[in-house]
Amino acid sequence: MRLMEILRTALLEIKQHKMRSFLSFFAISIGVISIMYTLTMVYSMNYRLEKAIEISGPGRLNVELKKSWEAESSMEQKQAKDTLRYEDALILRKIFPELYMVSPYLDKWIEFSDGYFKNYVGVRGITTEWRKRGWVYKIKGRFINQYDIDNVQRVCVVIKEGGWIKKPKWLKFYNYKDPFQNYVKHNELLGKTIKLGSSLYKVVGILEEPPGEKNPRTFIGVGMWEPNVLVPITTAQKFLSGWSSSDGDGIDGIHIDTGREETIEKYKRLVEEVIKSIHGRNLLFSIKDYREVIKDQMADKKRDMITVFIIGVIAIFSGGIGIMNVSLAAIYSRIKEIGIRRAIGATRLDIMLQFMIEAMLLGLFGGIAGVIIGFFGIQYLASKGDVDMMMLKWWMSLTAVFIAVLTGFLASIYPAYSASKLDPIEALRYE
Amino acid sequence: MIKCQNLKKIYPLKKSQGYPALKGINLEVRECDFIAISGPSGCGKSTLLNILGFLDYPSEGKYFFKGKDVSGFNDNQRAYLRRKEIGFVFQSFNLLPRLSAIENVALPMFYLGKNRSYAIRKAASILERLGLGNKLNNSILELSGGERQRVGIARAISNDPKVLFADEPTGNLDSANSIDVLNILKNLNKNMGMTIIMVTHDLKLAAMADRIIKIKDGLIEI
Repeated sequence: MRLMEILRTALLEIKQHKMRSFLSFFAISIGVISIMYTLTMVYSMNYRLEKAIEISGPGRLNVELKKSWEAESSMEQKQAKDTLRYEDALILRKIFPELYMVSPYLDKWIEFSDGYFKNYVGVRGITTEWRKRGWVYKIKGRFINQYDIDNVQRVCVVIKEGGWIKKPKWLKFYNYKDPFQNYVKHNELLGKTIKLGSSLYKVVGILEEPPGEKNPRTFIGVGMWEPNVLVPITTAQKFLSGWSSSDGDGIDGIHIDTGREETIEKYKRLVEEVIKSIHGRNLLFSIKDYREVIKDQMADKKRDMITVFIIGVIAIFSGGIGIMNVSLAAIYSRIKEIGIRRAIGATRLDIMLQFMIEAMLLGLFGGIAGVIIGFFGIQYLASKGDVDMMMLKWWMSLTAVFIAVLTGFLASIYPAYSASKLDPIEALRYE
Repeated sequence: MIKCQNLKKIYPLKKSQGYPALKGINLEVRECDFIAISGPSGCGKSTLLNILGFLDYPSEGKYFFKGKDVSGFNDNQRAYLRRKEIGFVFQSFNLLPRLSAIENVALPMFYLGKNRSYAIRKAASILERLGLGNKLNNSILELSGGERQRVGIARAISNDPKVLFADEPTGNLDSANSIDVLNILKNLNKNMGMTIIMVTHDLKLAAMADRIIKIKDGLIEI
């Protein structure tokens, strides 16, 4: 029998049992929606990971202080009185000159003031090595140099957001404007003297970020702390008060880039040994592979995603059972028809195809309905500022529909087979 | 055309040996024959017709169709014979109620792989010949018994079969319609050269056939 005729019959059958058909593809639609969501999420996370590594460098390690509650034993917690120091970074740099980057940092949350304008900003104390990775900026003026660091100069560099070439829809809903960025945008700060906390600083440079569309950071913002102002690390230690996660004259951590992914493991071990030999047991610290850090940051999203995915699998599964149920019920109500068709020359395969194509059509319609709803749903989430949901690609819809059709196919094998096994005479006699 | 040698059909039953519906039928049907098979109900005439019409298979014995032994044919081969070589007319019409008259008639042609426009055109011309030209697109449920049976006959002959099997074709019809249906069958036999094998228990109708075969208790009465 020609495929067109089978399709025609299947469509007729679906049309004549609208409610039954609707119910059976309802679950499929829900499954398809969550599969689209999951695919978008997986894609987005991979994209972020890739971009984050692209920006941070391939061989990235973070040396960080452990929080006291992260200590493995109370003994360890009591012994840990020491903190990471700027000197540790200098020693590492000296021992391993082959490392691409050894960049110590110290973050502070402090009040910025310029005339009547006052606002709390994130300030990061850095060395000249900071600019070796993640440099996406256009610089006006100059960057912090070695002289500034060696002589504890009170200079600073302000980071200015790039805005957008074409403002995305979701930002129009999102009305919050960072007052500091707004101030930077409308006032020329270069060369000016401003106040951070209680001391005065000269703005020696402005780092301009590229527009949001071209800024890879737009898509990797996975809870990373981003500073607005950079100062020499020595200056930060000496003059900046304000809230910080490290105490005393310590620093927050050291970013290291070995330059190559293959050498991460090796240097992780070596750096650990060096730091242990400096601080003994008095320092609670951890060295994290940056890839792991990003994955940690994504863990929450991943959990959400897995939940949605499981719901999707269950929905698709119950949709499949629904289709199977409908097909089986259809067989019992159509035994006579099967008998008639067999009597006028339909083969077993013809009967099987008939039922399978009907089920696959149910899957297809459910899938298409799901994709339409899912598409608008995801667009809505994206318009509300969910960056992950902007990663929706057309092939995800296609994949979701394919999975729906496949579900219909798998669910119909057994019913179709039982239909084809009916004895034509028995079927004809059935009333 | 059709030749049976010692055809037996035994329906398996629980525990006992099984119920023998046919106990050894020897039968020969030549081309263009119009045969009526009659006998009391339960004598095995429908079983015989089902076997001859490839819907059932014999437990024993040989069945030659156009000189070929078809008793060992598998399901697909039987299905092919059903759609191409024979037509079936049923007592209860067995039309698909959700399709229109013309689609019912076209259905066997679809199974033979004919394209839709050809099948619909041919179905229309057959129905017109049988006097249903004004009811082509009516649902089966809107047709009278006699009209339904004429659609049934149209469907049976849509693939120009050599043999037409009719199982009590007038069983659900009044006498006027019965005569009408019989005349159509007669006409197909005389003018189109179709071999017709009809099961009926009505001896008056059976008398219109060229030959009557009486069956009793699974055997042909001589």
